[in-house]
Amino acid sequence: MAATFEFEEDNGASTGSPAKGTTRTAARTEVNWKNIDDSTTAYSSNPITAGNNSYQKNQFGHFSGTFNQILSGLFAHTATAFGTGLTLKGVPACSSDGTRYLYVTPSTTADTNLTTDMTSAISIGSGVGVFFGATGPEATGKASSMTTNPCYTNFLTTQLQTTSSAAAGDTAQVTLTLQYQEN
Amino acid sequence: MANYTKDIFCAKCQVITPHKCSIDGNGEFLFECQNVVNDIPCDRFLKLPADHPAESFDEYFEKHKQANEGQISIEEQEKKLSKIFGAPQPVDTPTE
Repeated sequence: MAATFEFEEDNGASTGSPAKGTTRTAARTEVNWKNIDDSTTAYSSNPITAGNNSYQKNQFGHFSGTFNQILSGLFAHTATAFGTGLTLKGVPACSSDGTRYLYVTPSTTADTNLTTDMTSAISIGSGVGVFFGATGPEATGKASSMTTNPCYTNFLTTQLQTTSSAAAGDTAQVTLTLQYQEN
Repeated sequence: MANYTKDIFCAKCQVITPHKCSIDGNGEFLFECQNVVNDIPCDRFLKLPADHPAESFDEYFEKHKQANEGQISIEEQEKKLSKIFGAPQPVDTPTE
């Protein structure tokens, strides 16, 4: 047997302590950076105008099923380059409970807590460290390995930032990878 | 209009480079890398919110450097490998 994995997404106003989104959606299969904070509207209905930023995308990993331990998490942009005038910002490496990204109400303002420049595709081995914990991505108690079932990654938040030189139309379709081990 | 530049670490160039400083249409501070390699402009940029306190710009730039120093793109990795080992070998595809 193996762990069951899915990406999930928080949206809406920050609520609770530690903060999380008002809405939590399971089984996400894409990340569409767009000019609205939800997981349902087609990106073509709310495109980012050149020079603006997307709302943050607050996704995270959720593990259930059968496993003893989840560990060695890494997160990176691993394939396909972005075009001119586009920068993808992402969460810093999570190396302790205190360094996990904290949820804020998504907005189109440049998020200075997203310090990792994820614009270039890199090998997953060079990705930022991801920690795991019980209850949810927002919860305290994150560690490099976790035996609690279910368990969650820290928030893997990203934001697409643009300048006026960004081309019209869809961006390239890029690959973001979350790597982990299970036993 | 006068040109303003600031030396900031560039995640793509992996060195400190001059960045053109401006304020974009949203009032956000925009810092665009001015480095040109083989006639190709870098094009990487950083943004800070309009209300970001001026006294903490340098603190942010240092965090940005720490978060991105040592990052090697897949393209750069391949360039480095092909320089040492020559052209890559074709990948074997299984036949039926």
